[in-house]
Amino acid sequence: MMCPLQNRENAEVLLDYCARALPADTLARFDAHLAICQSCRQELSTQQQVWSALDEFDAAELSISSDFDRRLYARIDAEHRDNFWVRVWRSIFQSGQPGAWRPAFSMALAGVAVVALLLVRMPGPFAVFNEVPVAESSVAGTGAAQEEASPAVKTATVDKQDMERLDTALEDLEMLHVLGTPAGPGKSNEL
Amino acid sequence: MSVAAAIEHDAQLMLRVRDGDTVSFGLLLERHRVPVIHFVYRMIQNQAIAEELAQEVFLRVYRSRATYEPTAKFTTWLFRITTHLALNWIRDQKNERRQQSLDSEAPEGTAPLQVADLGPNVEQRMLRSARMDEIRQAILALPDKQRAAVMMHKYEEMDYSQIAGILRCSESAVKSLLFRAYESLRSRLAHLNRGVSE
Repeated sequence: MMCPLQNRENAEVLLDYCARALPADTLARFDAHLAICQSCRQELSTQQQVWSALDEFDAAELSISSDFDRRLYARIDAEHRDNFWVRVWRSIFQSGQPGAWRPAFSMALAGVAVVALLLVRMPGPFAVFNEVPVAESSVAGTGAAQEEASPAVKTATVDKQDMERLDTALEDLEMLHVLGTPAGPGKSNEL
Repeated sequence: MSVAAAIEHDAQLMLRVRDGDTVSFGLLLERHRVPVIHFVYRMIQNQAIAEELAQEVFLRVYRSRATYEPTAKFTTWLFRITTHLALNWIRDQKNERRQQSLDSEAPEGTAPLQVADLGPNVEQRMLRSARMDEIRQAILALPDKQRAAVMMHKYEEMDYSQIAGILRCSESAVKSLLFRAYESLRSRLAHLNRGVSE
């Protein structure tokens, strides 16, 4: 057998020897090696001393609280009484798999970011959030070419039409005003 | 019961818990309560908190019953939850301690040396207590993952592949963790061994 101290592939043999986890054939070969290797005997001795020290540190004397189970079942009962959303929250963030919430959380975050982007940027149903509403009457009769135009172009066109209609309406009002009023000297000439 | 049968039994019990059998949960609790509490206690050195964290472990097992699939050994899954909670607690404590910048008191959870009475064997008890404290300090001085690996290897008698499954790393990484951990323990506890051999 190759010396465990000189061969990294065998390095765990010393640990497994202390842990009594070596298979029978490896154990026999390592015992034979120990008989001729002073360094391994030295290393094994110090490892066994650590092993014994850790044995002293055993927690077997620890007395577990007699109401451990009762407290646990009380918590389980309390959870059953929790409302639906609290349970959903726990199932996401405190599942049995440590860190299991992280992919779900990342995906949810990415989803929220995408939706936010859509709300800000996209035309269609989301346009209401970032553009001036278009009156139905102003769109009517604008033709197929305008219907195919982009929302920004369409909005600009509608704004221009509104201004023109406003100007026309003001001119009409002025005309009515002139017609409805007794004609002055200058104005009758103009008509 | 053989090891293979025990593994199978745990998985069967958990599948029954998944189907709503609370008695099976009680049996799982009965089988694994002590190892889980002892493991956490060795990691954090505080019994009250060890029990509190162990409760959280079993609570999470119960919560996850609906999604349980026996893809890995039940104990691997159980100790993955346990290790995760213990390491998180240790990390949080470190952060808290850093913020509070405590002066040189004993680490939280470690019992200070106490001499209860002056009986005839007081010297032996003091020596043993001091020795235990040295061992405790040597273990607490290990980096968290190394400590967890040693606890699983030494006390839970897990093999490298199971520890790797729990710590979510490769077997060679586990071996490396263990070599470094035992190396540190050998150097920290060398003086105790000299005292014994002299």
